[in-house]
Amino acid sequence: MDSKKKIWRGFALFMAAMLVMTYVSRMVYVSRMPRVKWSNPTSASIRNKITAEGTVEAVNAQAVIGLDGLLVEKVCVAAGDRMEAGTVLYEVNMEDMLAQLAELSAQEEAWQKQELAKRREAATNTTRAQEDYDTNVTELDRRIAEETKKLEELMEDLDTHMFRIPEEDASDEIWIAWADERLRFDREIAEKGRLIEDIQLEKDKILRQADRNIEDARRAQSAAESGLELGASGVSQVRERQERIALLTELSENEGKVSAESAGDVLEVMMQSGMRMGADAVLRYADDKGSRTFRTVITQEQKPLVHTGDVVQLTFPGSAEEVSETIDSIVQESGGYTVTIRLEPGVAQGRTEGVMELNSTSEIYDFVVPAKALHNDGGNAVYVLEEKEGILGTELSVRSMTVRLLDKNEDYAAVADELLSGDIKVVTECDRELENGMAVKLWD
Amino acid sequence: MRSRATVPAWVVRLYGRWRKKRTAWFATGICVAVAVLICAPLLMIPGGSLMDGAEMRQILSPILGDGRGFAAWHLIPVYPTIGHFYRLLIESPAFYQLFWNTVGMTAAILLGQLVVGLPSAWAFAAFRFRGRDFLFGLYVVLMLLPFQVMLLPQYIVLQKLHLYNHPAAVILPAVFSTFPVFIMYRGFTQIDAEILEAARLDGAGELQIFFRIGLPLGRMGIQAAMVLSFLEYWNLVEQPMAFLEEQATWPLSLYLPQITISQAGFAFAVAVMVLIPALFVFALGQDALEEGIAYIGVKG
Repeated sequence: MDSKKKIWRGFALFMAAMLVMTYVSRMVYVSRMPRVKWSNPTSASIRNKITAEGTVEAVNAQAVIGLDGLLVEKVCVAAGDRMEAGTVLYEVNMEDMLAQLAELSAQEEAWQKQELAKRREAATNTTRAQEDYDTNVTELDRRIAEETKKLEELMEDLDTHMFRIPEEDASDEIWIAWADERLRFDREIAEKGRLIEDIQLEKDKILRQADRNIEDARRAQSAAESGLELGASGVSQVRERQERIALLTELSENEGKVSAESAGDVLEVMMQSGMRMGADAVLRYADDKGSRTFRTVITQEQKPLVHTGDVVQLTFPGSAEEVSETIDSIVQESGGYTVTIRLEPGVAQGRTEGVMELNSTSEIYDFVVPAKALHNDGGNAVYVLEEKEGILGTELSVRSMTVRLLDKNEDYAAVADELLSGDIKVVTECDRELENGMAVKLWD
Repeated sequence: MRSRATVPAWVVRLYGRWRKKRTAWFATGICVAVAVLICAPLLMIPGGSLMDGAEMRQILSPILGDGRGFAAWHLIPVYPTIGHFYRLLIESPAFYQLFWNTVGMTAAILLGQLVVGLPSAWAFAAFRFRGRDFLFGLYVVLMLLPFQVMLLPQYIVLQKLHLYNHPAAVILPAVFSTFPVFIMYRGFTQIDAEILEAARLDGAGELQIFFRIGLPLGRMGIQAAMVLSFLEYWNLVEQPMAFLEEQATWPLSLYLPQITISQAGFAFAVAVMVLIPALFVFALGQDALEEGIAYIGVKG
């Protein structure tokens, strides 16, 4: 009998242990069970609030051209920096610059001296030509006057001679002598007249030559004074040198600091310390006076909600500025769609980044669920809470239901499926990852 | 000349005994071999329940279709683990659900058989009435009918009674089983009729006779019936499979078929746990069980 009692006792202990373990295993099972919250799909519209971060870019970027041949001592700005008019952009090496300035100044001084000498020579030549002209005129006028006087004397002698006409009865010798005399007068007068004419012609000729000489001398002087003799390239060189001297002089007065002429945002810096600059751009910046564009990339899911012409709100981090702008273009690119918005001039000055926000209200959808209820099951799907008969009795379990996503925002999603109804319980929240058919319990 | 080899005395004695009892030894050897063969599946259960999954897959790979040759078996696992028991006892509340279903179902059946079958058996054993033999014969026929024959009628009746898919669909037919009546009847028939007659002459009522004489003297038969019924209904498979759709109402015997061959170790652990109550009951009712089997042997 004792052995029977032991067996009974063992049997009872076994059953008691099984009872205890029943509770233990239940507790373990329940503790591992995901907890879920659910809600019914509702009829509602979706307020789409699309937020996308993007960049602000200058439409026409300005360039700062480097001072050709100068050595960069220090770069004072970097891409993304804000610069105002007068902001020092970079500094050149003073020693190098002063050496160049000294050399150019010496060249200029030598050239100036050479030019001055040329001008003086030209002026002298002009004066001399004028003097020659004047001398010739005087001399020739004197000669003409002299010959004219002689001619007048001959004319008077002739007139006198004519009054000394012999008597009619004078002898032939007298008549012949008188006539010969008269002929002599006539010849001399004619010769004197020709002489005067010759002198006049010579004068004209000499004066014409003298005029030419004067003109040549004046032209040479004018050319010397105007620098035309240098030719176009020579003038250009001189001007360049003079401009460079002026530039370097100004730069030396500024202690080698190159400053911004206008306010803007530094976009790109293409120089570095120790670099000798060329005639290319060393810095690009967006001038505040110019307009800018805002670019951002939206996803495939966001694309149906964004259209060209939509009015969006733009804000800029670190600024209270908020503007309404219109979407100008949406272009598909790898990885999404690029939205471009041309900003009004003066907008987003000094900003390189911005945030686009688009608000729109959709049509009313039949079934709207919280967005976090969606999961990927080879497509969009929601977990539906169902009662399942199992060994442990009626349990709550989840079933993955594939749905078509009609619209979505950050909080809600509009879905559609033939099996959806307003009574269906959609899992909206869970404390661990769910799997199809998994038993769950409700959140307390 | 070669000297004759000396045979040790103990060998000579052993040979002598063998010659005398060689028939008995031969029979014993055959019985032991058969016993080992029969018990082999039982011996596999504890080892299998402690066997690592990888080792199990390795030795069962020919069965699982992953290998060639024949499946082998390690009575003692190379990589023993209690992982299957941990999973079963800690992580499988379904097992307990079905365990208590089985306990409840078996208890209800045994109680019902006591309530229904005990008076019937007593009536057949203690009273002589018209139609008794016919009725008893009917009981025997019903006892001999296999379940498959009774499946459809029982199904129809249970449907009409709206008991389909309810534990009563298994319990009620079992309660009215004629087999325990037969066993208990055999136990009651061992009571000397003169004792009953003497009691009646002493003025004892029939209920008094039943409770004061019948039950104590027929105890072994009742115990045998209960033990046999327990072993039968503890492992009940066909009836719940046919009449119970809700898994929550299933007995433990339907839990094992849910376990796939890839979880053989877990299945062995379940088998061990299923076996324990049956072993307890067997140990408690071993004497009565032997007697009950003896009753069955004389039922003709």
